[in-house]
Amino acid sequence: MTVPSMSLADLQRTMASAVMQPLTAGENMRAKSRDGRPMRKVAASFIAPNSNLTPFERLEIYNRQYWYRVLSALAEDFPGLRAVVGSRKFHALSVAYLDAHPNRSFTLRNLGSHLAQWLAANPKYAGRRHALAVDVARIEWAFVETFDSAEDTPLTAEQIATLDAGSKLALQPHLQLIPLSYPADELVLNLHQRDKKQTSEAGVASEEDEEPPIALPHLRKKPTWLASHRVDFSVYYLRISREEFSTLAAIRQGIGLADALATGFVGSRIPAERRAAQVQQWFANWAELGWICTPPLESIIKD
Amino acid sequence: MKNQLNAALLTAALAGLMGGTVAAHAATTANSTNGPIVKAMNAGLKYSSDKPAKHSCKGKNDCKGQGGCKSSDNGCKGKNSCKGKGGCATDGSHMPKFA
Repeated sequence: MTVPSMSLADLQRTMASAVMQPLTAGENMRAKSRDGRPMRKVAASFIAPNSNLTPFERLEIYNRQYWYRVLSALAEDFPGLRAVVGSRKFHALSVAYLDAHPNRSFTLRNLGSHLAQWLAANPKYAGRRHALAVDVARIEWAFVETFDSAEDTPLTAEQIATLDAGSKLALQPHLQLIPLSYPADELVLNLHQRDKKQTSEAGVASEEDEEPPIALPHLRKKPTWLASHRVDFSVYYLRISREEFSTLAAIRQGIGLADALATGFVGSRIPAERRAAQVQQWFANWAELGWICTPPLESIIKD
Repeated sequence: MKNQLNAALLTAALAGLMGGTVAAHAATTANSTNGPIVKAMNAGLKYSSDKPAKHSCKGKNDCKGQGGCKSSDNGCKGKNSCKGKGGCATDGSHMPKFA
């Protein structure tokens, strides 16, 4: 058999396109490629048969393994979302999401980085619990970020003594700020406990078992501001006020300290005379938790 | 009036920062075992993650004997070795190094 010559880059693109194309409902490789060519022809254009398998069958192994791996990794990072929407819907949304946002990283750790945003824009995949599902996805992705993001050295007393109104600060990289429509943090923790219990009882995760959406406690919609962060290698979720959230978000955006404080109180109902005491308490708590750092040197030089 | 309020907020922020920093420092130096406890009291709800590792190929036997099945152990997921260093690979892989 003569195989037409192909550059390495073309070969990699052809292979990736074939492997990353979603499987059929029966978990087989599709008969046609994305551009409509028969997959048998596509496979034969760059894969040789062996004594047991045709090029199509050899390629299909990799096509399946890619999807089994990424679906499994995504399910592992979003057990709460899976419980909220049910396993069937979760499978469909995972395939659609991964087709829209295929893995672009050397590590599967980043697989779910766009999931919450994608789900917010694609409500049909979540069903009637859409807003809650987006919240759960946000909390679960924040866990991934908080779990292994870097930890910078917090501000020292000497550095604080040099600050003024225009000083720009930075937040601890592992601190994640999560705006929610529901107070869903406790729910996610409970769902993870449930998932952990099921996993340890069954020995392996039950990703392949079909599970309907679980019955949830009644949760009323209520704007909630959550911070996920790490203390001594453990991840914590802390509810904060809207004003705290806005101030922290402004600091993260690189806004100077005085303006960040003003931003935090835009539209606030906290009486003016109580604000200073609140601010002092927030900053004391943030400092104690090590959340406030100096901005990276590059951003100071750029300014 | 607005400037006064802004100045008061700034002063409060700096006072809070200094107070919290000194308290954190004192907690870690006075008794190194109490520091984390004091911190954790204000930290919120704790998430404990000690999931057993899984194998992505488990139960999928169609690649047996045909090559292409990698039974990675999901690397450092749920373990603490990569915490704070960035780049925990779910599949245990590491970024390839090019010469």
